[in-house]
Amino acid sequence: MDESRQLRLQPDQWLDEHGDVLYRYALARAGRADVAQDLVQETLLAAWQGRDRFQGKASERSWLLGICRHKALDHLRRAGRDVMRDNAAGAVDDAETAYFTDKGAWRQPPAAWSTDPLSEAEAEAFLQALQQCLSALPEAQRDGFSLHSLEGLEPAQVSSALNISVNHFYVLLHRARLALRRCLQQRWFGREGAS
Amino acid sequence: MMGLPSCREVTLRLSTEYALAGSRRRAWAIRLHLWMCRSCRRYESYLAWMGRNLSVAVAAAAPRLSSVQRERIREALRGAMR
Repeated sequence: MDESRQLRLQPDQWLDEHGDVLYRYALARAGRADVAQDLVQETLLAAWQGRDRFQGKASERSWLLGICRHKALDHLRRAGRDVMRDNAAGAVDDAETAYFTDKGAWRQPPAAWSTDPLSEAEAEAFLQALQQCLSALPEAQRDGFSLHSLEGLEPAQVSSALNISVNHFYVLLHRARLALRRCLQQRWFGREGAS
Repeated sequence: MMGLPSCREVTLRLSTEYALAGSRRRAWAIRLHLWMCRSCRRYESYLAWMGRNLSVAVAAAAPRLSSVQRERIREALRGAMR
């Protein structure tokens, strides 16, 4: 690791640059602000203690998110909660039969969105519906979608943070997008199957 | 739509188009499917809308560490690093 890289590896700086992303990730996993704060703290401390293992191959953010993910999983196990997994890329066939017929046609064609859900009058309620739909996703799909589509991480960064291949990440992203589309259509637009 | 990719394949390709580059012929078949299929065009519009708007809209309302939480974390880290 070169000297300039070493100098950047400081928890204070990590907290400034990545604290909010880590906090949102931890909050989505743990569901409580106090626990999420503890998880961010544990993550930064573990990263500092293991800083020699950071090779610079992944970005700092995906490295920290990977540590945070392990901390969150440990917390959930300690709390006796099931740690759901959604790792089987091959299961995509089963997941997609909910949306497509055997011949690959839509079971319930997407309806047109006649209003702008992010208009000033609608945005707050729409974002609440989105949060509910995100919460209903399997954890791996939610993580992949949130880190990429909401936090802006590149596919390689997300796959590194979640310890999965890039192709697997795209499968999770695809499944999350299908599920969100249907959920938003039902919860927000209420016109499933309408043309 | 004989010979054309199915809606299922088209939606997968739309989600993974940046990762899985296909042949020019396949890309043409997908564009033709989209031209003929209103449902898949709507799905394509949905993906584009998500890409354009969602992160910005969510960022405004996203939870953040408060200054009090940040200071607590900083103090705990300093204590542990001594």
